[in-house]
Amino acid sequence: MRFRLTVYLRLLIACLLMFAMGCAQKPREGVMPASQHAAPLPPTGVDLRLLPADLPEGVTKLSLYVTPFNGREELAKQLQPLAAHLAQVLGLPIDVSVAASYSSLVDDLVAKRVDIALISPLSYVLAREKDNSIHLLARTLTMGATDYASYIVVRSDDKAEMLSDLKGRTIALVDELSTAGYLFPLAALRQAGLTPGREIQTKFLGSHINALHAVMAGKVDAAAISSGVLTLSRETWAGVPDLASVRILHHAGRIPYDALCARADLPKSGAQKLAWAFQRLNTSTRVGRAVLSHTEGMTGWIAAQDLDYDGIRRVLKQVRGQDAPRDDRLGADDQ
Amino acid sequence: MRRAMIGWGQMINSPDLPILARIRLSFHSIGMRLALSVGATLFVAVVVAGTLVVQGMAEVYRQEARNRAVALLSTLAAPCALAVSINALDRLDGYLAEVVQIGGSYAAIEQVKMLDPAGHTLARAERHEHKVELLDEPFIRKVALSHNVHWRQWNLPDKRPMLAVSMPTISGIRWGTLVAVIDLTDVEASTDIAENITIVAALILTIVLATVAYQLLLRIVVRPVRELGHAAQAIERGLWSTRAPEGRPDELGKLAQAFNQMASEVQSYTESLERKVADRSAEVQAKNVQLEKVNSQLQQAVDELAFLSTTDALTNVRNRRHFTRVLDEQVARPQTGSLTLLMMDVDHFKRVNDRFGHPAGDAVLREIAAVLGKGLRGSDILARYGGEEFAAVLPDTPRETGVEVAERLRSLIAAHDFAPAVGQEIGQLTMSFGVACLPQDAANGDALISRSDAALYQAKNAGRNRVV
Repeated sequence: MRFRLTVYLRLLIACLLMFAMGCAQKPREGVMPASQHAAPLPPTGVDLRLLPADLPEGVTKLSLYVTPFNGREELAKQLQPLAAHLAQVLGLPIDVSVAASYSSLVDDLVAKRVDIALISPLSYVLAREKDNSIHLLARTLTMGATDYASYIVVRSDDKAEMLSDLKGRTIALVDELSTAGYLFPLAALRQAGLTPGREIQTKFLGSHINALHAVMAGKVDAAAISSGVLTLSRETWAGVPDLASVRILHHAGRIPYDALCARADLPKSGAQKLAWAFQRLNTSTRVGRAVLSHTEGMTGWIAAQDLDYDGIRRVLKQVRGQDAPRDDRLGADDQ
Repeated sequence: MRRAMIGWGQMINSPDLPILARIRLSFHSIGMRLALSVGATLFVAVVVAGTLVVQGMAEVYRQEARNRAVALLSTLAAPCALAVSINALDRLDGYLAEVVQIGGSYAAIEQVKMLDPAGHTLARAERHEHKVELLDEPFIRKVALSHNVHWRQWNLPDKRPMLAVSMPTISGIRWGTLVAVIDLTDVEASTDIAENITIVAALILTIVLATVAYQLLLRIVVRPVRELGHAAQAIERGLWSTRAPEGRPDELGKLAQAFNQMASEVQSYTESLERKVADRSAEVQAKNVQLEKVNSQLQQAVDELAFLSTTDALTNVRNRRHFTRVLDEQVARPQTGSLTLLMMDVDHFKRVNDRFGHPAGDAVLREIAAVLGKGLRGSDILARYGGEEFAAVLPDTPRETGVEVAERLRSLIAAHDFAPAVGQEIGQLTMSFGVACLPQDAANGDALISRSDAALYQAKNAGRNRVV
């Protein structure tokens, strides 16, 4: 039996072979677009020394003030290497100080008594409300993170299961300009139907660590604190009561870390140099690690935009829109 | 005839034949070729479609594996960023080891490592210990600088398929790059099994459907075509009444109808042609018969004419011309014996004419010829030589016999009572005879005539009614 393949069958076999060869070539490598982008890095090799033209009239040295979110003495000491590094980069003496309070620092910045200020997000928003031309230089990176959380904590043995269970009790707050220690917890409490001074009593204790200690010690029933304080207290402060004695009752929200600002009359060129000087500094470099290793979790600064703080503005608007007590300083400027 | 024509179909359906004899397997049959083509097409289509589906599924699995790796690395990004940012590489090691230990068996994570921007390994955890670096240097350098997620699939020397996924570790700034290596053996093995199943399924499907297609084609196309072919062959052999089976509504049925119509026309045309030929043959035969008849008539006429041309009109014996010719023939003939010539003349015939008239004379001449004819032998030829003179040629007759014949004739005439008409009594008449013989008396015909004439003359002179 003679068997000759028809042209059609030959074509079919050719197709099959080509297909098999095509199948054998599986894609072996590929790229997927990143969903997350690193903040833009400042250009390298640029001389950041400040010239007289980069500074306000008559300024020959700069003052850097930080918010007293922890103990003032401790903080001032930790920031000395930073001051030395900045003085070298900027070619100008830098004084680093810890402000007396959140509000005084905002006032001093707006009044141009302070050249550079590291302030809480809420402080920044309020400062910009007072003077819209205040410079935003950078955002702080803490422990390698860009944001932190606001917690409302209670003692582990407390019966409370939700915020409304705190009705008629006392909560420790940090400062009226603290974001995690006041604004976000306030919004959360109000949403739970608890108005400070009516359904719930409030105490302002000045710093996150004080608030935490107060709830641990049983002086108050709950405390509003920033997430970083839990870690810091565990690692840094010896002799604090067992952290297992507190638990998180409520997550009040996520907040970008502190804003680094400069006085409004600083020329743009100077503000740019300052911003780059800070943005170059982080613990992924040897210099950064040397400068920042003594701080409590400060690991660098990244480029920032004003809209990074729009989340704070939304919560602030929400809080102001509700029936606030007369002495609430948050609404004072609007009245 | 027709049943014999569709014998193929009967043979196929005949139950006493083995099945293989009934199905003629030939690659030159339409059915086999079509079934083969359909089968091959089907096979290729099913294999291609099946492989595409399997490959698509496998790609989905691979995509899933990649996405899993990306998700894993995303969750690792924050703690790893923290660990790097506070220069706590021991923690980094811990995180990675934890992931490999817990996720290793579930997600087949073979290795996780953290690279710094220069591509140096900051920390690494493995499910199995690998003595050599799993990832090659160029890939590591590339992913350490890239802002995107990269993946690569390759095989280890022991053929195990591996998937590497890299992801920049970003938390504010870029702290490094995480790379996860995932063992894809399960995914690829299931793909291979699925591909094999596809091919086997395609083969089975092909065989089943090709067989069905072949049978259908046999029924729908091949049999009618073969039947048509057989019918055509039969017609070619001259079996004009053969017809292909009709009754199918399709194109082949119409073809069979058209074929049969054509066959009918050919048949009727052929038959009419044959009829015409037969008619013509009969016609020709009739013409032949007629022609034969005419020919015989013609022959008769010719014979008659010949008879008439050699016969004396009055006495009905041979005329002188015939006599002359016969004599010449006899003389020219090689002689075996003698040839005798008798010359005879009626005595005193003038008296008869004068007394009874010429018609009576004519009648007497007729009677004389008759008597002479009776008296001669069968082989002798009698002719009227002229007037009342007769001659007879006696072939192969010696003179003595001739004389005897002449004497007998003389006696017969002398004894005859002539009565030409009722009431006319002529009475007795006599004749004189001259006999001459070849070769004794003469050398040729003319001489023979002269010699017999002379003898006749002598007989006349000697008193008539005698033979000389």
